[in-house]
Amino acid sequence: MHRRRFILVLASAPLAAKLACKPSGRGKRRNKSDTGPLGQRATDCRVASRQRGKALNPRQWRTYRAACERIIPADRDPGATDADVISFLDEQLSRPPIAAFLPLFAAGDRWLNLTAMRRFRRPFFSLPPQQQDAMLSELLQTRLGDQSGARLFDTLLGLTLEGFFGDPIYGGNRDERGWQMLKHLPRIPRPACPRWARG
Amino acid sequence: MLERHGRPLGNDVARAGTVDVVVIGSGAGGAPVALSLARAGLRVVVLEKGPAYTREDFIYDEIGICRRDFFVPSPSEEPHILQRSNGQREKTTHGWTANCVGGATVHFSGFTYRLQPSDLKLRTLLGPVAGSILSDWPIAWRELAPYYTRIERELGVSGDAAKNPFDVVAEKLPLPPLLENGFATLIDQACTKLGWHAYPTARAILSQPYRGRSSCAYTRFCGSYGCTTGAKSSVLEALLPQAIKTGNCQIRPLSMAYEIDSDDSGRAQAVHYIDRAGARHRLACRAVVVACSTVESARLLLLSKSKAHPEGLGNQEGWVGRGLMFLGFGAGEGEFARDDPRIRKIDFNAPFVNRSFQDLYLIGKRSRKRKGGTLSFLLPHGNPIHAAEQLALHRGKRLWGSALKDALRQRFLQTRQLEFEVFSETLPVAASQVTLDDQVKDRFGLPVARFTDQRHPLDRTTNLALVKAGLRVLEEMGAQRLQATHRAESTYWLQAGTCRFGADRRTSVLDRDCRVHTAPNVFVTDGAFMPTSGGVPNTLTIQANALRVADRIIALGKALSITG
Repeated sequence: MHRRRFILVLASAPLAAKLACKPSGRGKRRNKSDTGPLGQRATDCRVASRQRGKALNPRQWRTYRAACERIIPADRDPGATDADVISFLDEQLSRPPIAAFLPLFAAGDRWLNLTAMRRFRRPFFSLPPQQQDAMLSELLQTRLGDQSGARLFDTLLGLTLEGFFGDPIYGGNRDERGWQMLKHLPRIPRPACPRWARG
Repeated sequence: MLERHGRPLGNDVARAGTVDVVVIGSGAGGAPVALSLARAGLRVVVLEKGPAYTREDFIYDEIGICRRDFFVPSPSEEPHILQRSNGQREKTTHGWTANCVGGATVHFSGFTYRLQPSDLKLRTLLGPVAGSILSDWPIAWRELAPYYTRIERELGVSGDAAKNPFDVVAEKLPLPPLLENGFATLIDQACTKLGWHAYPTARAILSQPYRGRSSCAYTRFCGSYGCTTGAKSSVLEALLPQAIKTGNCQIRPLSMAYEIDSDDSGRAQAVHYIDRAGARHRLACRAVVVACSTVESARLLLLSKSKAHPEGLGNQEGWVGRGLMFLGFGAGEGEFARDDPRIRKIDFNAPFVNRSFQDLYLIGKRSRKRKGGTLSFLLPHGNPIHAAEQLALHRGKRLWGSALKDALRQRFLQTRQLEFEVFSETLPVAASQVTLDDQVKDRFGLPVARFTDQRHPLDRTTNLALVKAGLRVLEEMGAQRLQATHRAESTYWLQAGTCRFGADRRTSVLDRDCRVHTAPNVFVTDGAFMPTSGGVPNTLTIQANALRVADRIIALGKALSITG
């Protein structure tokens, strides 16, 4: 039971890590319609938008879509791409607290593509799966500025699992494909909107 | 945060800016006191730093509820600093229990274990233990025991304590055990063969309708979530509405106490707090009850420096913050094939396993006696992200790609798992301590709590012995692929010991009534009062003791000028 609690992705940010989210992030999350009559629910409760590239630029989008697919590859069951994990990741990286990891993701994208270009003269996303796997393994041993590639990998892994097995309201787990793979039956009541729109 | 999350609950009981008692924290330590005092006619304001959630906030959203800042603040806004023994410092959410009205009883699993008489006399029982500041409790078992029965009735607890031969409280639990899964019978049989005594774990979950609340709907998503039906006996459901109903108690959410004011004699006069909008207030009172979690209560006392308390309130001997204990934790699991004839007929819709045993509460003979703890058997939690993460990132290993997918299919589609958890005594050590961090401040500009997590070497031995016993039961049951998933760790959510109570004012912060030695109208009623951790989750003990302290406050009322 208890071990399941608060494995907040940010749970143990080293002090050295410069956290990009502002202390006033709390106010930002508030939806405008929340200030209406007391006790009323926010009305703007749509699924996280499918708009691309809120946080990631086109190259980063392709890089991490490919990397997520290596973490959960399609086989007889759907993979990360089928479940639109990349949209979830982009949405998460666009707002606190996960936005704090954007610089790390940017550094990872640079390293993966520089290395891919140097070795194979192709961007990371277009490499065959075996070469992508090898480079992701190598990332685990790599320093990215003042942080480790392993930290990026573990964060990406955690977010990929969230995007694959979390409620579709957050933009991933499209058509509940992750849940269907596990025959997981969601309990009700389910969220009508993402956490940041709920208060 | 919505508007309703910050609205005060209950009558405004302050008159001319003054109340009888300010209770800081609305969880296991604060709510029972607030209820008792309000019933006795005292005017009580409860300051709670978190929001006032209601059942409609408690939905099944693993990301939003269990993995973000619903219950604990974000580490970028209000971190704790965990200082490792190698000197490394980390910003962490560890050490937060829950920031909301009702505290961690809102998201706990409802394990409501009582202590045993030996827990209050550990120093006498074990003799001196080198490296530990082990001491007996300054109260006798008979002073505490009746309050277990009282709190169990107030809350609504189900189980069958009579089946635990090591439990000495004679009173029956108010509700029969919850519905059980067939695994429970298999555990009973295996334990009997091994000479151990499994019994139905007491749970603060209603097996029948009770005092206007309906019985459990068996979603099996108790821990980490608030209860959507109110069948979990959190203080939010069971105690606080009663306190408000008296008309004498008001709960102010999103109100963080940051300093206790005292006069030159050391007596508290008022509590300063910051409201949701960032405005600062001073609330005058005749007494203060501090119950905002073991870690945060120590921080608050250390922040409360005054002429009479230059080192922080009650800290004249340097004991505030010392002897911090996180209950020892271990876990393991075994697996059964889904078509295994022993489990094929088990109805997994009757979902609790609910078995514990305490045969290893004390280990060893006579002079080599050692404190052990409790084993609890349960089905894995149904959170899919968490389950996948446990497979993917565990003990420094990484599983990804097709290997991860195969492991997921194996776990979810081909097998059933049975887990056990170990709760073991943590020997108190002086070096394990809460202090104010000298560098990092929270979003209000206040120094955050820094803590060291230093464990006595014997704790590990004890924990490993208990984990081994758990695996032995699984083996006897014929489970496959046995593994210890957590060998010897700390439960950062089950805290005790930063304001020990004791008879000697040179080595303790509180007296036998949980009253600060040097501040006659300040009481501490969360886990901080415990000089030893006990070998069970301490939630019920905190609540029982809080009722006891409330009775003492009422009895002392006139003498302390708390009541008129």
